[in-house]
Amino acid sequence: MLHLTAGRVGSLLARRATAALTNSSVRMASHGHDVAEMVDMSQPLYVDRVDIPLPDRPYKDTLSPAEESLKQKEKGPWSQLSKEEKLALYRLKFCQTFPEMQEPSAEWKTVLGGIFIFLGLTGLVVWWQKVYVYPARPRTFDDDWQAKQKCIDTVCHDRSHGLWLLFLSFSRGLAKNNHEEVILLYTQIKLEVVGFF
Amino acid sequence: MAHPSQLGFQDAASPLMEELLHFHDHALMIVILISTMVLYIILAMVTAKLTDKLVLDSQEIEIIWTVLPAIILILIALPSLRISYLMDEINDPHLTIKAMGHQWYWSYEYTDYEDLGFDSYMTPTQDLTPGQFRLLEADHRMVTPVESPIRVLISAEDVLHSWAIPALGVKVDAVPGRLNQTTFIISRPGVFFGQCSEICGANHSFMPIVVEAVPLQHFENWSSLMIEEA
Repeated sequence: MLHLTAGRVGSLLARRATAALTNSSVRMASHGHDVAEMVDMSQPLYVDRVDIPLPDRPYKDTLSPAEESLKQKEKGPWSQLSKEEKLALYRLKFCQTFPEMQEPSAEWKTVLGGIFIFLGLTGLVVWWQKVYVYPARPRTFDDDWQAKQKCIDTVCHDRSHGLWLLFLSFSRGLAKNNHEEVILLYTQIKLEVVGFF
Repeated sequence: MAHPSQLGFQDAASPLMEELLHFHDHALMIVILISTMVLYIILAMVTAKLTDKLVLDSQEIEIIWTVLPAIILILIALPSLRISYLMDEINDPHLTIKAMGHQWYWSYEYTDYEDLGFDSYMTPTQDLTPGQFRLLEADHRMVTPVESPIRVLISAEDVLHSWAIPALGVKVDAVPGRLNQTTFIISRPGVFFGQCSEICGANHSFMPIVVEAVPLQHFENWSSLMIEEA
């Protein structure tokens, strides 16, 4: 990434300063536009935000007489304030502490729960379709049918299924006749495809 | 042909399809790299603890993320155009076959030397012999010689159809009243399947295309046999 040299930092800061000090109305006026004066009419707001550490106004504006006297005591040396008084003064100025602002909520449990509920409902719908809607499975999906399909190795079955079919055709269930037939077919294909070269 | 739960293209059986496979790999790699980078940036931004409140603009990054995408697009466009022009090259076919789409079957005519024509209907599922492919097998296959440039002229007799074979990288619309042409070379012997690719009515899913590529001698034997039978 760009290495911030001292010269670069200096120029960046200078640009920031000029942008901040000359607001856009001043720049526009200096270039010959007639611009009305800009007045800030916003109310000071209190917000608890990590990136606004010192809000525009204190949290408690209207103070009770006890709080008023505490504020007067704050004007003296702070070493004379007790721990509870310091904490009370903090709570007058701010609503939450930084850790309180940043603590996580339990919202994720609601979100995850909602997702699982909808997944479950979808599962119910899918099961109902399987029972009441779909027609019977075609016989071409049976293992012995697939074992007899030409190119039984990984060419037209995916890797794991092709190997599984090879295993099936050499082992139990497909009857001795079938597996010999399959080997014959396999050899025949190899001859057809490879034999001409 | 395709296998169950297949995600990628079928193995190429023609030089053009090989080019398309490699181009797809190239474009997909670019897409994956960009997506990974964007995903990383999103995660980094979302998990960052600090906020910079004074970011207004930045000329340097604006230049980078304008110029770099332009370069990437050029890198994608150049191979794409190359393949596009490759498809349209003048070649000298050894054989011309006419493929006509009907509702709901294909008919093939080999009229270079003798008059040979036949229909190709899908084999119904209950008539399949064990081991055949459901919805893909046909009673008569379009047999072609291997490693020869073939020209196929495609049209339709009733409604729109489309003659497509993924392994050869071919998909051409069959338009009634119009003759479309495609040429290809099949690099290896074998049987290649495709399905009608333009909605044409009730049995649109049940009019497959089967091309069988065989050595020239076998092709000559087959065509003599077919002419005798007719």
